This record gives sequence, structure tokens and C-alpha cells, in this order.
Amino acid sequence: MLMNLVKKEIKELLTPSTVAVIVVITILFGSMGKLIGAAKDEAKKKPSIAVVIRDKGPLADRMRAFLRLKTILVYDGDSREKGFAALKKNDKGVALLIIEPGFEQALREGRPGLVHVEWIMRGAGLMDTISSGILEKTFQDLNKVISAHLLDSARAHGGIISAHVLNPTVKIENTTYKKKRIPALSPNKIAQVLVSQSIAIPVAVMLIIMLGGSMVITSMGLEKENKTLETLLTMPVPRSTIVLGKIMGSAAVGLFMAAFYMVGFKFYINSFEAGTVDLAMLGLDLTIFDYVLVGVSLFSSLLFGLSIAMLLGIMAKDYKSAQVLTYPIMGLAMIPMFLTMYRDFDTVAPAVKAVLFIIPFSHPMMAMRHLTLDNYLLVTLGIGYSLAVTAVLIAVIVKIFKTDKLITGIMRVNRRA
Amino acid sequence: MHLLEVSGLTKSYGKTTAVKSIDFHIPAGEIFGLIGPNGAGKTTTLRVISTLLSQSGGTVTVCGHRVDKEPHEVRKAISYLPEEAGVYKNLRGLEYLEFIAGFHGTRSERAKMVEDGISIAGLGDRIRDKVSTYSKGMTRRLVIARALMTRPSLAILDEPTSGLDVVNAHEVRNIIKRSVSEERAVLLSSHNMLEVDYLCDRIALVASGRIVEAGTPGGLKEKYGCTNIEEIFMRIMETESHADEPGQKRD
Repeated sequence: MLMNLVKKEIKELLTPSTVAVIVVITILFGSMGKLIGAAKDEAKKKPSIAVVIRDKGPLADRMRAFLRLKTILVYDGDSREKGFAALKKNDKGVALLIIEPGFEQALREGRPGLVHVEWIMRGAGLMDTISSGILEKTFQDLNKVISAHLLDSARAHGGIISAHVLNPTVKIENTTYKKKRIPALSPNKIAQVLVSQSIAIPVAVMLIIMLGGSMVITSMGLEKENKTLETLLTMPVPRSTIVLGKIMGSAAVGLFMAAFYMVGFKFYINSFEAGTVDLAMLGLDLTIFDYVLVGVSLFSSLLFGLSIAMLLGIMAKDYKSAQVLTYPIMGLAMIPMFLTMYRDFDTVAPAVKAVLFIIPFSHPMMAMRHLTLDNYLLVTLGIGYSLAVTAVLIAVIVKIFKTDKLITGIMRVNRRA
Repeated sequence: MHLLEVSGLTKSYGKTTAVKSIDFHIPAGEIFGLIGPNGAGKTTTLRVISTLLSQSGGTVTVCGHRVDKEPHEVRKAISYLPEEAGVYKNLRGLEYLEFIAGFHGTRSERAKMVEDGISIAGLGDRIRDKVSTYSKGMTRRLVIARALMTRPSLAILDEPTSGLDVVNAHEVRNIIKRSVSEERAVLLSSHNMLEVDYLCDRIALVASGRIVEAGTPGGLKEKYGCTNIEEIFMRIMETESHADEPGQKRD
């Protein structure tokens, strides 16, 4: 008797929808594991840097030897310009290190040695700043080398051991992020400021799209389950009006949600501006127009999501099957969510770039980061592309609405045939 | 002119033919009933006439408009009530009637439609309550009201009293009977032979996608020497099952 009940429970619970959830979660964890694995591999690599050590002497030689050991030197010479050019040319180049003449002399006189660092920041994704993080650690180790040299020198030749000996250098750093030169900040600090864009936006966009998509699919499923769809389709109104009505209704709710989200997010961003780093001073703030563009990008992507949800909703027989049909949208939203979280659009491989562009959900996820760097072209292209794909989808949906498939069901007709 | 003309109507789903070249017509002022067992093709026929499904062959004309050529014009002339038709649960009864009226006529016509709908539904103050609080009988009265309040030239009702108790079914039948006028007609399908006998001016018996018998309830009773439609139905079905046996020739 017990087994009888257990068997019944298993049959009830192990439906295609629960199996689909398990599969989606498995794929999700698998992809996350791969990304983390890639991050670990990245962390093992030596950072590529350029050095311009104009100071002469034993300390300069010791520093150069240490850097040769710990990094890949793409340039080692006297020209700052050539060093920076070589760094830019190398797509893995992280920073240009400049040691001016008189560095060792300053240290000997008890003053800190100035280390000029010109960082190149390629992206603000979580994986984009791994190499600059490693280099920061290398600089700390370089300080130890300098400290050791100063102590050895004091021991051998006598002299004063300065108070700076354990922390002998002062870093003067600037970061070039795309076309912007951001003073006094390293890529890691900038990434910390932009972390909201790296994580919060993709997650929020995915949630909005999933919520909106699920609304449409459920609405279609309920229309079929409650037999209200048949009534609606016999009303003297064009099928295109019915389709647009459904999409626009859900989009209005989605827009409402998006507007609330944007207001909330503005406050969230403001909290960063009010803190230690002023985004406006760094030129990383967004204007009202930028926020409007982000909203439009989100709305156009939402329209695409709702259209694809409607297309899937046509296949739904009832409310329960409608729930299962939300998973493809979830999957489609999760791909760009994880990709944009870990990488910038510019730092991914061309094939991944193409995938990101093709999925309209990527565009609002990346819009804020693009606009921070004044890259309006990609944002507007993304909006245009999303709207064009939506228009095609709506045309397909209207066509299906004019066929028997809506009543007989696409899958059932195929099975019969 | 007939309000509905069905000629050689055929509907196939892949290799399965659900409706096989059926012909019938409905003049104004008539209630016409399609009766038959489950899967006979009644609902498919009603769905083709209602422009929900496309026909595979033949022609269907409603008020002079072909369903395949002018579906929008046909939709203006009909009102279709699917079997077990539902309502949007979050709407109130009145809101649902206003929603449906919103697809028809001018503002004043719509107000009149809603007024008529309230009267046909006969739900009293409950018309202002959410549909989710309605009983099955109340919901059915509401959807019947929505189907008839627009004064369609042809009301197409699929199993209008399906699942209703005796009192509600009786009331719905009376509503249908009252809705027919000189300019309007009703096409309905039903399993309930007593209902068909009471409501319909003419009936057609559908089996395996074909009309196997048609006429007035009185005429058919006389022809078969039966006292009620149910007997006629059983006798025809018996003949049909023999005709379908291997080796038997069908007329």
C-alpha cells in the first residue's frame, strides 16, 4: 500500500516541468563552474606589462629582474609613448610602469619613491579585472624587493633606515578605460564602483523579462484553459489587434515595472556617488538622457521577450503547460546575464560577441556600461535590432493567429500529421 | 435569403477527416440543432462557421459573407458560445459584459447591449461581483447573456446547457427561445434530446462527420414512428454502426 502511494506521488511530482527545472539548474551550475574554472586559469597567468625604468643603478636592475620573473614584459625601454603603444597593441597588456631617474636616490634620502602606473582597463566584467588584480599583488611584492634592497644597502654601506622602508613607494596611477582616462584610480577600484552595473543590472533585467514573459505565457495558457480565447477570436476585431493588445498590455505593466526599477536604480547609483568615489568627477556618471536610453533599451528588449513569450504561449494547452514554456525564455535571458556579468562586450571572443548581440536581452544588460563610456552606437543599434526582431515576431504571431493552430494546437497537429 | 448556408463542408486534420461534405441551411427566425455522439464533428462544424477553423473543402456563407473570404464581416454577424466557455476570473460580471460590448457598435449601442446583457443574465446585484465568486450556473447565464446581448444575426451555441442543473438549464433554454426573432437565428449543438425537441425548429443528426438525418422534430418522429428524439437518435445510431461494419455498403 505504501509503495502504491509512493509511486503515485512520484508520478504526480516528476512532471515534464519539474524535470525541465532540474535540467535548467544543472546546465546553469555547469556553466557557472566553467566560468569559475576559466577565472582560475586566468589567475594563474602572468600579467603582461610594459616598463620604462629610467633610473639607473642596482635597485633598478633588481626591480627589472624581479618584473621579468613575475610578468611578461611586452616593452622594456626608455620611451613612455612607445611603452604605452606596445601595451595597447598587446590585447592582454595590463599596465605601463614608469620609474623616473632619481628613484633610488629619493629612497636613500628618506623620501618615498614614486612609481607611475598607467593602467589599461579592457572591461568591467568580473573576469576582466583578474590580471590587474594579479599585478596589484606583484606591485606589493615589488615593494618587498625594494625594502629588502634598502635594508641590504643600509647594512652594507651604513646609513639611515628610513621610516618608509617597509612601504617605500607611492603609486601615482591613472587608468585608460576604452577612450576615457580616469585619474587616480586602478581598474580594480573602478570595477568596484561599476560592480552594480556588472551584477545588479543583468540580474534585474533578467527578472523583469522573466516576469513579463511569464505574464504573457500564463495569459495565453489561461485563455485556452478557461476557453476565453475562442470567444475573443470570434469578436469582430482584427487578429493583429488582439496580438498587439496582449503584448501592449503586458508591456505597459513591464514598463511600469521598468520605470520603478530605474528610479530605484538611480538611488542605488547615487549611493556610490555620495561615497568615496565621485562618478561624475571621474566622468563615469550617466545623464538623464542616458537613463532614458537605458529605459528604451530595456523596453525594446521587453517587447521582444513578450513577443517570444506569446509565440511560446500559442503552444500552451493550459496554465500548467504554460509554466513549462517559460523555461526557454529563462535560458535565453540567463546566457547574456552570466556573460555580461563576467565579461565586457569588447573583451569577449567574436563568436560570443555575436551571440550576445543576437540575443536582444543582452542589450539592456550592457546598455549602462556602454553609456558610461559614451558608446551610444551600440546602445542604439541594440534598440533598433530588438525592435526589428520584435516586429518580425509579431508578424509571425499574427500569421499563426489567422490559422487553425491556435485552436488545434501546433504540437498536436504535427503529431497527428 | 438564408442566414447560414453550409454546402459540401469538409474539415480534415492531417489524415483524419472530422467533417465530411455536409450541407444544411438556416433561415431567419429558426433554431437549428446539430445532434450527435461525441466526436461526430458537431463542434468542428460550429468552429468553422465561427471562423475559428478553416474549412478543407466546401463553402460556408453567413448573411451573404463567406467565412473563408470575409471572416471579419462574418464575425460581425455571429456570436459564438463555446462549450464550457469561461470568463476572465478577475473581472466582475458587469465588467465582462462591458468588455465584450466594447467590440461592437457605437457608444450608445454598447450601453444598450450591456443593459440587455444584465437583463438576460438575470443575476441581480451579483452582476457587480467578481466572476470568480459565481457558481457554474451563474457563469453560464453570464456567457449566454454575452452571446445574445449583441443581437447577432446568427447565434452559435455549443452545448449551451452543458453541466447545468435542471433549474438553470430550463432558464437558459427559455433565454435562447426568447432570443430568436424574424431577423435572427440560432444554431446549437446538444447531447440533450429533450432540449433539442423543446428548442429546435429543425435538427440534423451528425455521425462520423456526416449528416445522416435532418428534419423537424415532429416530422422525424412521424417518419420513424417514435415518441421522442432520443429513440430516433438511438435507432439511427444503430443503423449507422451496422453501416460502418466491414462489408456493408453506405448510401
